[in-house]
Order: sequence, then structure tokens, then C-alpha cells
Amino acid sequence: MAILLVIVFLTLLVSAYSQHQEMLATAGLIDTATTVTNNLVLNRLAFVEGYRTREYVVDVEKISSLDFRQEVGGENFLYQITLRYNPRDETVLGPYGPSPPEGKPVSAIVVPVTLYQKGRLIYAKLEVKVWRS
Amino acid sequence: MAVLKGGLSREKGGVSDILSIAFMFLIVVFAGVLLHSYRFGAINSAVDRQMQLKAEYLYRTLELSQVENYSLSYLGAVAENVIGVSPQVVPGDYLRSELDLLLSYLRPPGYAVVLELSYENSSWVQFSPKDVGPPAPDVEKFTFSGKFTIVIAGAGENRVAQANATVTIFKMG
Repeated sequence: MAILLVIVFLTLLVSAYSQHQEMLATAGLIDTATTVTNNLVLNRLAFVEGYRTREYVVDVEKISSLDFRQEVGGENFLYQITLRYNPRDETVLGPYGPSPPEGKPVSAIVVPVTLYQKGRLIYAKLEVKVWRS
Repeated sequence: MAVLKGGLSREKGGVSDILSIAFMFLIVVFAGVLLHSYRFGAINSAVDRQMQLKAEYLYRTLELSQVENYSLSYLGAVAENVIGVSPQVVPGDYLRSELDLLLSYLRPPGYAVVLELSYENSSWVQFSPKDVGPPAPDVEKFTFSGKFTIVIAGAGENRVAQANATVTIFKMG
């Protein structure tokens, strides 16, 4: 009986450990989506005015220069982005980049951003979907 | 007598065996529950970090994006209103309705947003959705604060006024 209980306990331990690893991987993917979004909004898509980079202002014309892949923590990730603005008559730009794969964990984040559009700064939503390549 | 005593001690041994196995079983059950219950901690923390990021991004968007038909930013327009700049570039009623549209469009689903600006005795508080009240003390809030500075041109010299601005996101009940 005691041996049976030990076996049950060890089985529970192994099951909990594998679940824990899976949850850590999921949390890591969520954090990676945050990192990729930050990098896009603050660097790669940031509007450049003269010599000054305007962080949090997205320049749509820079999307064509993206390769939609990023290395984070030694792992390679792919991403797809979509921009939405004008709530009265919503305009959708994108999606740009590869399509998320079926059956793989994908982390999506939607953040408010400012879009540089025809000389004006308008509010918009940037959606970023990230997955392991 | 010796046979009776032997019988009694065998019974006591049997009962203590059953009790110890029962306790071991209970410990295994509790251990299983504990081992599995900690699994969502990492995900909840990651989601909280994302919500904090969204609060900051919403603040920056209010700080930078221009009010429809005007060149002033939303935070700038509200700050002018609160500080009492005259004449105001953006009328208060129009600003409030445009802000309502912005906040309802940009706030995360299932979450409410409150924008607060204050300067001396004057303040601007706007909730989205409109009918949601202040969050309960035990509700988790994600806040980003800053100061918005306005230079007011005067007859003799210019005046600098700074309004405190806060954006708070919290889960709706």
C-alpha cells in the first residue's frame, strides 16, 4: 500500500512538472509578444522626423522593411501585425507577415499606438501575433 | 491472558497501520493539489505585465495623437481645459465626446479605463465605459502617470503650468 502511494506521488510529481514546463513556455511566449511589440513601436516602426526618432508613433511605410522574425532569448520567433484605426469607419491595414500556423501556440497582443498618417498623428490599434518558428 | 494481550496488540497495530496509510493518502492528495495549483502563476504574471504595458501605451497615445480637426493632442487639450487656458483651443464638450470615442475604442475588452488630470484645484476625470464607477479597493489596477506641461504666453512673461495625468486600467466587475 505504501509503495502504491509512493508510485502515485511520483506520478503526480512528473505530471505537475511537465505541466509547469508547459505553463512556463506559454508565459515565455506572452512575454516575447510584449518584447516584439515594444521593439516594433519603439524602434523598427518608429517614425523618424529629421534626426529624431519619435517613439510610440508608427510609420506605416516602414512595414515593408520588416522581415517579420525576431530572435528573443536565443529562440527564433515569427510574427504578424495588423493596424486598425478610425473607429467611426474602421480601416484595417494588413495583416502583414506570415500567417500563424495551425496547432501551434500563438500569443496575440493589441496595444494603442499613434499612427503617422498624411502629416497627422491619429490613434490606432496595433495587433501583433507571435509564435515560435 | 497472554493470548488475549497478543490479540489486542495485533488489533492496535492494525488500526495504527490503517491510520498511517490514511494520513499518507491525505498527504499525497494535498501534495497533488499543491503541485498542480501553482501552474498558473507564471501566466498571470506575464498577463499583468502586458496590462501594465497597455496602460503606458494608452497614456502615450493620449499624449501624442491629435484631436480630430485640431492640431493639439488629447492630453494637451485636456490640460488646457484643466489649467484654464483662455481661449481654449478645443471646446470642452467636443473634447469629452471625442475622448469617450477614443477610450472606448482603445481600452482592452472586459476592462475599464479612467483618465484623470489635475492642476491645483481643478481636475478632469473621465471613465470608459461612462457608467462604470471607481474601481473597488481590492480590484487590481494598472496605472501609468506623467506630467503634461503647458507654456502659457502672457503679456509680460510666459507662465509654465504642469498638470498631473494618470491613466488607469482595471477589470470590470
